[in-house]
Amino acid sequence: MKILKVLDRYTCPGPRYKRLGASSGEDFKEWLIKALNKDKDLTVDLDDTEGYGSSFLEEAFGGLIREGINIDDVKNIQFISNEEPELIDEIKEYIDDAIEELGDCK
Amino acid sequence: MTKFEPAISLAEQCKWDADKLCYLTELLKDDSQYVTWVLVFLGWAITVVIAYSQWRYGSKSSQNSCHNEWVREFREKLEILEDDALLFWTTTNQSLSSTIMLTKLTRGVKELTTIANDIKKVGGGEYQSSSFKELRQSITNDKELDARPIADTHYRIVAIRTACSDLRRYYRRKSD
Repeated sequence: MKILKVLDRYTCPGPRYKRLGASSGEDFKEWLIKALNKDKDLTVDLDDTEGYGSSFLEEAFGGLIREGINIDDVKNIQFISNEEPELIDEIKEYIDDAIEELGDCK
Repeated sequence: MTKFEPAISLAEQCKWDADKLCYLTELLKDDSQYVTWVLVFLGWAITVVIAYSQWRYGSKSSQNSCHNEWVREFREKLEILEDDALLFWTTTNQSLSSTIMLTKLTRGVKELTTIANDIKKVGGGEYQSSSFKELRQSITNDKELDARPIADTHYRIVAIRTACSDLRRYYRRKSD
């Protein structure tokens, strides 16, 4: 099992897109894709950063579905969030919304 | 005929220097001192009870004072965050760029969740997961960024006010 600690890469998670600034959700999504390609059994540790914007989370996790990553692999990602436990629900909501949108488009 | 034997005094039975335990035990067996010993032990028991209750009260009072200090800070930061968020979404004349402003608002949410965890540690209420989720989503989602300034009646403005109001209602000072 691979544990991805967000803090190792970003102290301050930033905006949605790379063009808007550093430490973006888009950049994090690419990191997640690389990690998922290496190991499907992935855990993301969200603690110890300076906080997440909803746009960052939506782009990073909802974006995985839009990028065509296998839905089961995305849903299989585990989370650690002791500081802000509601982040896990929020991320799952974005994943579900993205799956729903994907279904609407088909 | 038995020979008269004088009563052996306490000092003769056990000497303090020779056997301290024996000396103390013999003291407790002295019929004439029962009332004294009862008063001594009662006095100690009362002292312990008073000291314990004082410690409990002091501990609770200190915890309440700590809790109230965190709550005061939480409410101040929440008020600032709400004002900044409403200003950001209902106007477009900020000096900071929208990306920087959103980052600032995101840090504001994290400060609140950190304080909420501290409040829980000092005996305050449970961490309000759903309210914090609503607060973060209503303030830091960039969905309508290009539609700024949005109307006061827009669902996002209503959501910011509702989340802030829920948190304000929940995080209140405790009285002693």
